[in-house]
Amino acid sequence: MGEAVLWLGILVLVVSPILGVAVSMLSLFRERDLKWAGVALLLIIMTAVATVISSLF
Amino acid sequence: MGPELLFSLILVGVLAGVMGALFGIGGGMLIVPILVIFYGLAAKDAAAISLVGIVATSVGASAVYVDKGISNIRLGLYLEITTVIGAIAGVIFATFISNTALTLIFSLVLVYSGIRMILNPELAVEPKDCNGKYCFTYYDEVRKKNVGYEVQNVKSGAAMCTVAGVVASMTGVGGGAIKVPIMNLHMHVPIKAAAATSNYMIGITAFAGAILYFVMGDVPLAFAGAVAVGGFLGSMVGTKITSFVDGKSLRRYFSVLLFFIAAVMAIDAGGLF
Repeated sequence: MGEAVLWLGILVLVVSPILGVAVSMLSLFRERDLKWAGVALLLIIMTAVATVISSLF
Repeated sequence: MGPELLFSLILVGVLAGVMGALFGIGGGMLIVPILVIFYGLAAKDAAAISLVGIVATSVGASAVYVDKGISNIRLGLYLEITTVIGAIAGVIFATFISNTALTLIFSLVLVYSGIRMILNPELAVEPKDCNGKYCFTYYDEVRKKNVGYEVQNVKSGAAMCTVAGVVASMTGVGGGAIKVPIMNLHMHVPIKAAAATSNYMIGITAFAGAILYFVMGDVPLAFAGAVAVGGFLGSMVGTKITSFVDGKSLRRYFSVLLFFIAAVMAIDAGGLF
């Protein structure tokens, strides 16, 4: 049980930064700041690509 | 895990968190050698724990700096894109380029950056006619006033961050140690804003590595949890310290830190850990 809680806690921590970028993107969309919302979206995509490529090497 | 081990790991995290929040670096340069040398962990385990610690530091510090408006989120998002591109390239290059020479060159670059930060005064540019340009403001608690600045050399700064991403990816460290000088020296971002923005960025960079280790089941959870708790607590302390250290002193301390990191990297290149 303790190990499961620890696992979940670390998972939540690790994904926090990218979730923050996603929230920033939504917030920027709402502000109609489409340029920077697009930058945030591009960053999410690039980070996903980087993660996949890193897993291959 | 015994209480002494737990407490000592939390302390390691606190030290890294304080440094990370103050200077915008991840603290990996502190965490990895300590875990390898003093705790006898394998380098891979130490790296995985370090990445989780870096995320914790970033999350803690960013929560404060973003709330205070010191972190430049827009600039951070933009520079992080080019850093990630560099990191992808670095992963590919690392398969056929030895990183020993690169680590040594990188440590020389850090020494050069440290010397420039000591010798050159900060050259923040006052914002003028900021129509569509990179103009930002934050409240400096030491000077007790709003500090406005216009980011300079955005494109070349972004290109330098790509190189930073390559180097950081190949050597395993140094994201913040490169990016803060790039933002402060080349892009004329005040040191506090540069460090706070770097804090925001390094969490995203560390995520890419940490999630891989996590999915593969390669994160020693108890160790990582302890270091993460310490990192978070340390980042809270670090953000408090920032509110009474002036920018000039912070630059000087950062230079000393760069010299330390350069020394550690040079020793690492020599194969000590």
